[in-house]
Amino acid sequence: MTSIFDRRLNGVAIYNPDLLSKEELVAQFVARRRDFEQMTTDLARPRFGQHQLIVGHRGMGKTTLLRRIRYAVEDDPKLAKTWMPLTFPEEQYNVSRLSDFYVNCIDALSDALEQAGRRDEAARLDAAVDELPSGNEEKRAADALAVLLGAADRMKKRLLLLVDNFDLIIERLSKDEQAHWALRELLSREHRLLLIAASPVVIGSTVTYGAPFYDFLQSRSLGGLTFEETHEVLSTLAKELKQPGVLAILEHDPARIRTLHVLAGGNPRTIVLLFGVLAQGADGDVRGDLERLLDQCTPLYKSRFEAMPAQAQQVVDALAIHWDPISAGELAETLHLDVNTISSQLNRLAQQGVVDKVEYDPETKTGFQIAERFFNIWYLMRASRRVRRRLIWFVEFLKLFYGIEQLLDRARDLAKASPRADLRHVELCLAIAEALPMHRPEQVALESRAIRAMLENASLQKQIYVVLDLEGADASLKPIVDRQQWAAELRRAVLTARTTAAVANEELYDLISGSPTGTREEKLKTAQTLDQMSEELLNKFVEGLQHERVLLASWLGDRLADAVRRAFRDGHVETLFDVDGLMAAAVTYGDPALEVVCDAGRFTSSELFAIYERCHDAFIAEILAMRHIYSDNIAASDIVRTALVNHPNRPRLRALGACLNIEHRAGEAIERELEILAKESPNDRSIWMLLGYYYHDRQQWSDAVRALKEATDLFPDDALLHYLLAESLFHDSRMDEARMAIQHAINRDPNDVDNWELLSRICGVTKDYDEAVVAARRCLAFASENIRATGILAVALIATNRVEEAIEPALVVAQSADMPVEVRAFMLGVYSTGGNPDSALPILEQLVRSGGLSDQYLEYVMRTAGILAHMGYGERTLQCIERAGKIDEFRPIYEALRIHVSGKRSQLRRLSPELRQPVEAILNGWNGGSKETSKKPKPRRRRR
Amino acid sequence: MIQNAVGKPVEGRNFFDRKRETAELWSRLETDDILLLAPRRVGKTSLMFHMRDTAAEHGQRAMYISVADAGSESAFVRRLLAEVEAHDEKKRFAAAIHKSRVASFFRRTKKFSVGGIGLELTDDADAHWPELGESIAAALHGLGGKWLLLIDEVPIFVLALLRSDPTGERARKFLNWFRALRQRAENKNVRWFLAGSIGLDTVTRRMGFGDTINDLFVYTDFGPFDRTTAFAFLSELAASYSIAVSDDVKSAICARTGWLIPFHLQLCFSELRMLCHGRSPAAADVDAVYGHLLSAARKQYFDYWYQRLREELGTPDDGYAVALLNAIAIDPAGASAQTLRGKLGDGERLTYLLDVLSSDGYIVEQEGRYLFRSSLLRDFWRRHIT
Repeated sequence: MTSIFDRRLNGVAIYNPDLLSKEELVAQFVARRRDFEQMTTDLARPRFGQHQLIVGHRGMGKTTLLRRIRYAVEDDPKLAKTWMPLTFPEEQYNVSRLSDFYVNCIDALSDALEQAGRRDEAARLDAAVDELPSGNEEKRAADALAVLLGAADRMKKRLLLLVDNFDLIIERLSKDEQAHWALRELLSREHRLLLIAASPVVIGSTVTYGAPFYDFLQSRSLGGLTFEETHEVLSTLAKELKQPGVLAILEHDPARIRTLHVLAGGNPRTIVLLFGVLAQGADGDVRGDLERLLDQCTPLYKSRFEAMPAQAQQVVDALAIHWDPISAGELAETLHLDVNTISSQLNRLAQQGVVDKVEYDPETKTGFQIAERFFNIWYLMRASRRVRRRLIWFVEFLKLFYGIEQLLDRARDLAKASPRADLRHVELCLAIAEALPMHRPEQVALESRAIRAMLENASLQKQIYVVLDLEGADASLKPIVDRQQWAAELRRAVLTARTTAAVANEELYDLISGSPTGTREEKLKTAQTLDQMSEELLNKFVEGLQHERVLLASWLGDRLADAVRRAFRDGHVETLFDVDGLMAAAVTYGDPALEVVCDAGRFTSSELFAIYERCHDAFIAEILAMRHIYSDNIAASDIVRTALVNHPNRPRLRALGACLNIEHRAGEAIERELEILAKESPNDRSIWMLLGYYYHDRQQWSDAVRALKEATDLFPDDALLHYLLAESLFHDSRMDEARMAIQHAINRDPNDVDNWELLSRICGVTKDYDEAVVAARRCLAFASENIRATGILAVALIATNRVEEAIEPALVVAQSADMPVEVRAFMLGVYSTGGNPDSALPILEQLVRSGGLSDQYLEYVMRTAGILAHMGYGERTLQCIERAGKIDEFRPIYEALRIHVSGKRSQLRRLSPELRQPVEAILNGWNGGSKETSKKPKPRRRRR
Repeated sequence: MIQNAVGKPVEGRNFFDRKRETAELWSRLETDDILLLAPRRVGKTSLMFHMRDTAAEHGQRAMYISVADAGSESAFVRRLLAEVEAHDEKKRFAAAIHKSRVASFFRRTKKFSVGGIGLELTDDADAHWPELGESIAAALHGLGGKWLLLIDEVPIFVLALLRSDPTGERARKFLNWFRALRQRAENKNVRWFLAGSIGLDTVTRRMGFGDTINDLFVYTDFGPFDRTTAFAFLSELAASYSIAVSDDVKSAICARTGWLIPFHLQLCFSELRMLCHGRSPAAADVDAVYGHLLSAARKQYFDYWYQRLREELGTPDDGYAVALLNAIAIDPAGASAQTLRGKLGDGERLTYLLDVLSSDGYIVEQEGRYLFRSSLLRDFWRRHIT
């Protein structure tokens, strides 16, 4: 007969997994499957003895995981032969001495035996408990333990203690440290017991060096579910509980789920609640879902909040209303309370799992936030109207934001999918391309995909001028059609040519079509005249192309070089500086590294790192390492160390490794290696540069001068090497030579700010003040927005006693800020106002003030704000939003602007996790969003 | 086949290598009692288990006793007794003790009785712990052959005595008694092997009774694996779990871990298993694991190391200690004593703080340079403190 405990609940248990029948729990167990599989696999190992601690906030699935392990052990004959799983009440409030815990273990064993129908054995255990002495704790504990282990011996099984809220037990035993040591000693030596404990907080005793459980338990933390996991949980529940409506939402409206996922913080319990809400009615929207979800949580959250002491309530209230992380000092200021009082309250709340300690900005401080994020959302919704409005706008924002993301995801998937030669596929590609907001690489990729599909299919090719109005509405597609037609023509021409070349036509086609030099017309012309070339000329031509291929591979690495050549072959790009084309190719091939090739400067380090993680190209690693080599030694070392594993023989990487001293070698060994690498790679400017930098960074000026003189002889046109030489000479007090060297640098790159800056410094030292002012003016002419450049001029002018003059040039420079052409072009396209930010700002303000949220509009505002921020108008854009009184509506954009303006990405840590996700995505979008490279020379800054 | 074990001491096949150390210790035990001091998690208890289990090969009978949870001298003695009771020689021991002057402190009971006398103490025995302890040692000696008593966590026990009597009188009395016990000629068949994490030598010196342990040979050369052993250890772990771990991955683990104690290698392997879930890890996975160990979720773990300086050293020593650690953190190869003298001057304070930081597990001295024991801790220090 089925036990009453095993009858189906016919639903989902939100707060008490015990209410679910075994079958239901097993069927609905999705979220922590991976942890579960690992843990049960381990249990099957002979003599497995690793005690474990599962750490996760409330609702993260700890209890369910423990229950699931129990059922797995019971159901698996092999595990059941070895283990007797013991489960306990979620909270063991009755534990005040160690013997109490042992008695609870006996009770749990007795329960397990009773459930297994072994009532006599259970009764014997109960009787043994009754006989335990009550006074002498030492004896009571020893006797209780003897009863427990004796029972294990009789059953010939090991006892698996599945203890929930282990922190509570440790805390209750904390009055007697010896009890902790005794428990540790027991678990250390007693093979018959294995502990799998769970706790909502990190237990102090496990991380405190002198404490008994320090590093004793293997820790496994249960974080929030990813979006994919959330999707899987909802989908499994929908299938299990036969809710096709929920499945339909998952299929057709992922943005709605995504928004709710962010708000729920990936908490499995809240997600199960969400399932209930979705199951009740699929017609609602995110707002409705959220409100119903919050409504369900109200009794629990309300009672939990009301159970707190008054001052704790005050702290939690302030934290929840603030929403973003906050430091103890700032919170004390908000509450007008002593910081020590607040700190002790926060620590207590952290210990109770109510509050989380998180990273903060600055890093040396600790931030605090409400641990259960959905509780924070609930609290905001119940707060004042103003606060509530803040949240509602955020929800609306997320819905639209993820709506756009959803469309882009679809476009990316479509661009990467195998091409299909049917009209429906073509039309789908073109329709989605048109629906994409603004000018995106995905758009070009999809259009190219559609046109290629048409050209590659004979019947579709005939329809191309019927389907597309290339002279009218589809005129923008004309270049793509031409490009694809060229690619097809080139292929035909080379493959059908009758040549005397030493290589096959396929190889010849690969060499010509993938070459990064030569225009399309030139390539086609060459292909059409291959038959007429003499054997000698043709072989020379082939050798040249082969050499070019080798050079490209040594620069970019084999994989990336192949991808670039493919982009040329497929007609996506015509030159290596064709940003649009490379971006479209990146989308089409699903290879983000391609975007980096032409303009790595557009990417933040974290973006580059994400790209590196996906492709492991040495080239990307080198860019990253070069970028960080003197700013973040640890990060650069990590990157190089990892990259060297895959590319151990790449000279540039080895030079970077030497510079960073990843092998902890003596200085002489590093110098020797760098010198050898430089000599062995006379064509690799970067290695010479690293050699120069190495000496330069260690202030070995004479060595730096020697190496850099050799480098400038090898690369006489390299302005940066001349600059480094000049700086080394400057530090070596060889001013005349320094001045000559910097003059060489200026001759080669008169637009480089640093060159003029150094010249001004040299002139300052040699007391040639007039020259210093001239150099500083030149410097500022190129770096008008740069505070350092302004300072240089000011210094130079002050040195010549022209203090008043020092102000005006800086102002003039600041007001005529150089705007990148690609941004101007973009602004022209958007506003038709000439790309002037001063005219763009009022328009933006007007839009922000009057507009309601819509997907196009949001994208518009978001990208415009990004452009303005990049142009140095971030502060004014912020003011725009403030003046329009729309901070709440545009909070993610507003915060992104603030962070952009401050230049400190670390400020993301000051935002709530919910807000941090979209803000980070916006910032990433801004950094990767510009479309065209500038055609006019821009002032450049070197990264140091 | 070795198990992936984090935290719990290992036994049998799971105990890896340590051939040099065990040879040195057995050799030293020919003539001396030993005090083994090493930071936590180095594997002292596993080493002691191993010595207990292999004692017969060295012509000895051994017992392991942990006194971490002993709160009093009598509890200390009771632990000894409990271990004897579990030993094969229990009958002969009981007979010997029955003839000793402390026979009256044993309860006459049938339950545990051996020849009419059991090893259960009477209620009033606690007050007579010195005589009981002496009789236990003498009885063991009298059984013939050599005995090795491995007593773990001795410093924790001494600290418990110090807590109960902050004047130190109680701890001094016990340590004096214990020293006398070790030195008795009639106990010469009993060899003592004491161990602990917190510097017993530092504690006794600070309290002014360093003489109570000066008969012990202090063994401190128990540290990390060398790189070759660490590689072999990882290979064996990987084979046990049928996971292919390349040399590159092993290199990455060693580079990341820095201080190659088995615990760190086991921890890294355990996290890799959790992350990779059956597939072979790549060097990048080691970075991911390392990132996780340094993540916000683990910040509390490291925070403690910073807070502890404040709590234990107080002002101004905590500030000086932080300055030293900052200097040591700059270079992975640590800082020379000369550099550190430049920070604090060449005085008692520097010696004292380096001593505390070493014994508390922050730093280690290698070839005249001081470096962080754990590269994880060093990176945390650089990111969050320096």
